[in-house]
Order: sequence, then C-alpha cells, then structure tokens
Amino acid sequence: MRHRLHVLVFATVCALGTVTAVALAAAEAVRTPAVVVTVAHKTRQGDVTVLDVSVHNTTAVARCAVVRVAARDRGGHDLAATTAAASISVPPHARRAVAARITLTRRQYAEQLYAFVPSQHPCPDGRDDR
Amino acid sequence: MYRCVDAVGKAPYGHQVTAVDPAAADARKRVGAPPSPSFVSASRTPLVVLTVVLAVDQADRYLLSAVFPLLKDDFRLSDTQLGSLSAAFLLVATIGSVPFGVLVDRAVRTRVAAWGAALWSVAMLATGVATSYGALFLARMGLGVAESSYTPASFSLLTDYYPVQERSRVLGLYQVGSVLGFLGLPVGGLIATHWGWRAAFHLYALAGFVVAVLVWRLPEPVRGAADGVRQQDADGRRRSRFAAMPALAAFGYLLRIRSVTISLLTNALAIFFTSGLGIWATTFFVRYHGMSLATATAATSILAVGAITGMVWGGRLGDRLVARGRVAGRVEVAAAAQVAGVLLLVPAFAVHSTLLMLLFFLPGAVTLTMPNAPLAALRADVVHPDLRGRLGSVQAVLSAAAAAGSPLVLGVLSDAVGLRTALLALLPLMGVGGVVMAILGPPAVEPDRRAMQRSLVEELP
Repeated sequence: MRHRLHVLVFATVCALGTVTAVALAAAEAVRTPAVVVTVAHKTRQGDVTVLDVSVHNTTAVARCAVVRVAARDRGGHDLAATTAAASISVPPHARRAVAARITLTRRQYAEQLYAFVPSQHPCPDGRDDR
Repeated sequence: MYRCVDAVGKAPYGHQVTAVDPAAADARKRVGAPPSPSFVSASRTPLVVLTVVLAVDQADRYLLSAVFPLLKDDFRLSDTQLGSLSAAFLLVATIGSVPFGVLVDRAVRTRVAAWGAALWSVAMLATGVATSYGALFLARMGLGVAESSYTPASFSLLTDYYPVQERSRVLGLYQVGSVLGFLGLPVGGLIATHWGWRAAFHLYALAGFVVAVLVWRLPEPVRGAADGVRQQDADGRRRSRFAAMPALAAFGYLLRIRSVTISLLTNALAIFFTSGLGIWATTFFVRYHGMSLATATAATSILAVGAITGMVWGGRLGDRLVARGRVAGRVEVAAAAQVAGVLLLVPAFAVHSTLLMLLFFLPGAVTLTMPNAPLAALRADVVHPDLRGRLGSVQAVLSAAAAAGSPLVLGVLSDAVGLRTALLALLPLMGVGGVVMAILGPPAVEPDRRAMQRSLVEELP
C-alpha cells in the first residue's frame, strides 16, 4: 500500500511536471516581445565600434523604449555598455534605427569580446502605451 | 528481518555471480520493492540510462551560463549578482552531496536518483517562471540541492550493476555523460535565441522528468552484488555496521583507507590544473597563437574530444591491466597518465608553432581525464558497498574544492608572469601527483582490497 502510494505520488509529480513543461515552453515560444531590438550593422574604427540598432515595434500600439547595447564576454560579463537611446518612440508595427558607439581595448577585442548585445526596456516616464 | 543473498565469489577480480534467495525475492515482491537482479547485470540499459541522466544533469547546470546575457537584460542584473547565482549553486550542490551520500547508503538508490531528477526538473520549471532575482536565486538553490543527490546514487549503483573486472570501463563510459552535458550549452543558447530563455528551462525540465521515469524503472541491484557475498533485508536496504555508521565516523573511516586518501589527494592536483586549463585554454590560443576567438573556441573543443577519449581508454586500460594480474593496474594507469600529461603538455605550451602545439595538445588532453575512471573504480574496489554513497560524496566535495580555486590562481599568476609561464608553472603539480601516486598507491591497494573483502565475509550469518 505504502509502495503504491509512493509510485502514485512520483507518477503524479512527473506527469504534472511534463504537462506543465510542455505548456509553458509552447506559451513562451509563441509569445512575441512587444519591442524587438537587433544589431543591424556594425563597423569598427580603431578601438571604437559603431553599431546600428534596429528597434521593431511588433504591436498595434505606439511604444517608447530605452535602448542599451553592451559588449559582452563569453561569461556574460559586460566589457563596456552604452545607452543608444534614452527614449525612442516607435509607431505601431514600425522599425526605427539608432546608433551606438562602444570603445574597447585591443586586448578586449582580441581575447574577450564575444558579442554586442542590444536590449530594451519601456521608458520610465510611462510613455509606453501598454 | 534479514534475508540471505547467497553468492559465490571467486578470485578478487575474478568472475562473480550473485544468486538471490527465492524467499528474499518473494519478500521483496510482497513489500512492493523494486525487483533485484538475480545476477550482476549484463545489460547495458542501466549504464545508458545513468549516463543520459548525467548528461541532462550537467546540461541543466550549464544552461544558466548559456542564457546569462538574456537573464542579465531581463532582470537588470549586475555581474556580481550573475556570478553569485553560479557560485551559490555550486556551493549548495557540493555541500548537499554529503547528506545525500548518507541517504544513498541507507535507502533504495534508484528511488533517490529518480526523485532527485524529478525535483531538479521542478526547480528548472521554477527557474523558467521566475520574475525576480530572489526567485531565480531560490530556484537555482533548489536545483543545487536536488542535483547533489545524483553523483553518490549513480556511483553506488554502477558499482553494483556491473562486474568488478569491468568497473573501470563502465565508470569511464558513464563519465562521458558529463562531457555530453556540455552540448546543453549551445543547444540551450539556440533554444533561448529562438523561443526565449524561459522556454529553454522548460524544455530542459521536460527532459528531466523523462529521465526521472527512466531511472525509477531501473532495477535496484543488490548492494555488493558485484563484490561477492551479500545479505540484505526484504526491501533491499542494507543494515550492516557501515550502513548504520554515523556520518562523521563514516567519512573518517573512508579517509583512513590509504588507497582512497592517496588517490583522492594526488588526483586533486590533476583536477586543479585541468579545471584552470578548461577556463584559460581559449585565451592561451588567442594570445600566443594569434587565433581568432571563433577558431580558438573550436581549438578548445580538442579538450572535449581528448576528454572523452581519455575517459573511455583510461577505463579500458585500467581493467585490462587488472585482468592481466596487475592488482594495482588501475592506480598505475592513473599515475602514468598524470606523468605523461606533463611530458606532453610542457612542449604544447612552450612551442611557438601552432601545428606542433596542436600535435602535442591532443594526446595531452587525452591524459587529463584518463585517471578519473580507474581511480573511481579503485576506490570502489577498496570501500565497502554500504559506504559507496558517502564515498561518492567525498569524491564530489574534493573534486569541487580542487576545481574551485584554479581559474583564479591561474589568472593571478597570468597577470604577474604571463599566461604561458603560469601554465608551465602549475603543470608540474599534476606530475608530482602522478609520481607520488605511483610510489605510494600500488603497495596500498592489495591490503585495502583484502580488508574490504574481509569485512564482507564478516557479515555472513
């Protein structure tokens, strides 16, 4: 009896866990972020890299975003970071571009730089229409 | 109530078959305990399942670093907060293996491992739904606690599933799972890029629930089945003087076994160097051989190929020498690998030609993991089956301690004298460990193994 209860509890945990994992993964996969930022183009001039960042509003309402770009190493640590746009308004279903400049040392370029990572957050002053 | 599991044990490393008393089997059926094999398993299923679980376990650990940049942006974390997530996880996972080692020696191991996998999958789900740094931190701690159950349980199980003469090879194949887990890093990164980091945690949790069920369905082997005469009670639990031994006394007992202490301490020197190299190899390739970061990362994968080859062949060689009558064959393979590693890696770090460096580096990388399986098998050979869960804990704690400091030490030395000199300065530690192991190890093996065999016989009713 005790063994059966043990089996039942374990089976329930695994079954519920499996269903939850599938449902949450599917929900996350179909969810589209309201604002998507990507590095569209980058040019290096000496120790400075100039990045063109595309800001895409995927929703039907106007959005305001703070756009930031960081140079990261493989461990996820920021080598340098800059705010590309302190506040940028993007109309519904539209794209806008902003430029960012990041300066790194030659050694950081050679040994540490893994990727330039753009990110965005809603404007703090509430101009985000969500 | 004890049921005797009769067994016939031949020569120390000879073929052994353990037969189960039909009355014991009936009793196990009545209490609903998992079936016990009537002989040491010839099936590869337990090895495959436990290796896959290890790969999932490791992949779950590495997933966090694959999604570091995304977490950092979502939660607006500082580097310190990000680093503390990994550090706290490692600390909990290491310390947690101690109580789990005790549990593994007293409970049904397949159940401990299965519950561990199910609970760490729940922790992965919790990580995926975390909305604050605090929740993320707690979820990672939960993962650390649950995952710490697996190393002692799987080690103890494998030593009982397969014959003593195959032990080193089996443990080598099992350890390949830890390298396969590294694949979880790029795969997790890919999932996170396309579907978001939360989806990556949920899908990895799904894998965890699947492997939990697979482990649950494995038969619980008779403790010591591979080692000879055993007895057990009806529900498969052991109640020898070792199983009931208080934790501190048990750990003290383990560290008084010379083969265990010598192999742990001398191999810790190799683990110390290997862990540092794993972190700094890419930088070495970039800095001294002018590789791009992408090429250097690819070159570092030589370490992974070498690691797998070393694990598999180290295990095979250890068993082969023992089969040829060299009782200390396992320790001899490990000692030779550590010394050979120094001889191959000194020129690999010293030469300026990239081709020559790679030619030395590949076989050098093989020697780095070669000692692991033979030494783990050796320790199982000299430790009573009822103490192997706690032995797994000791191994986990010492390995983590050896690995923890080396990236920092190499970094500090590199700043002071350059990375190449730092690597060349620390490398001899591995050789010193090998030489000490070669001198002190072999004489200790036979007396320790005989002592273990005596303790098995003493328990006969």
